[in-house]
Amino acid sequence: MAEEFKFFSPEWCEAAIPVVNSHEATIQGFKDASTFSHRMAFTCAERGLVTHMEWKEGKVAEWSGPQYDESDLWLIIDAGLATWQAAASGASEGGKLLLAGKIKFKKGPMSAAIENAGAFNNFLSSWGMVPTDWDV
Amino acid sequence: MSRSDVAGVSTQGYPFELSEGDEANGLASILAMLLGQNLEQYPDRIAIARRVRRPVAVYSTDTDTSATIVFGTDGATVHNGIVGRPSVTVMASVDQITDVSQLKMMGAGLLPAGFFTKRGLHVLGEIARHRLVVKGLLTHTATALRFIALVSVVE
Repeated sequence: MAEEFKFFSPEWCEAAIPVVNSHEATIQGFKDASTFSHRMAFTCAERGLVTHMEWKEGKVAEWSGPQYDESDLWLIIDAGLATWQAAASGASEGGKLLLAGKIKFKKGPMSAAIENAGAFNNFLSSWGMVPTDWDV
Repeated sequence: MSRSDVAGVSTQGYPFELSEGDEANGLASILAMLLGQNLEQYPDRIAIARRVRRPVAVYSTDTDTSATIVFGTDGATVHNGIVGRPSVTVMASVDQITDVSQLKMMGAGLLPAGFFTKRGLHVLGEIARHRLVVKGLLTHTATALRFIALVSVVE
């Protein structure tokens, strides 16, 4: 059985990078992957989990624990553990979870979520391919 | 809580206030954030918002939630649920809401240029098949078009 990584741990983030970068549906979902270069945070505040990532031209260049100033973050997106798990399993799409108030945009332009909705949904569902220990 | 504490809600020009504050549902929060950010980015749309004289409601068919926007002279209030008697009610899925908000509008919001695109034709097809319902589209056409202009993320 493949080793499972604690959700949103540095090891999980590292394992997720190649998964996301090889996930064609995510790449195809960008409005323009070649210009999608941003730093953002995905968090699970209820469990005190914070990750920072950097996209460069539609690919994840870095993903780990907190490393950037908040002012450098383009987006900050938070959800509860059960919500992230639902998105990763494909049980619910990111866009629906957003409109249901389960995923919250703490910072950043809504236009980015709308224009890149396909990438957002597929990005979250790609997490389901990362061997994950959800007991965090 | 001050306006500036509310994420994404415009803090100047034409603010969007959540009537339920932290208890706002997801749809109301997203609409307030989207509308506030759009009017900050495109301040010329404030004049369009001021011309929407009746409430506009949105019902998300995927999440079974609704929100109503009441536009005023100096700002708007976004309520949970259906409030008052909206002249226009959009009943749409998340994907349809995403599509509608990417339609380009011109001419003070009354010229739906975005309808003559692949995405726009798809939206019109959904309306024709009653998969996307815009109540009031024929009786309050200007309000419906202005609302699309306000939620549009296209310059």
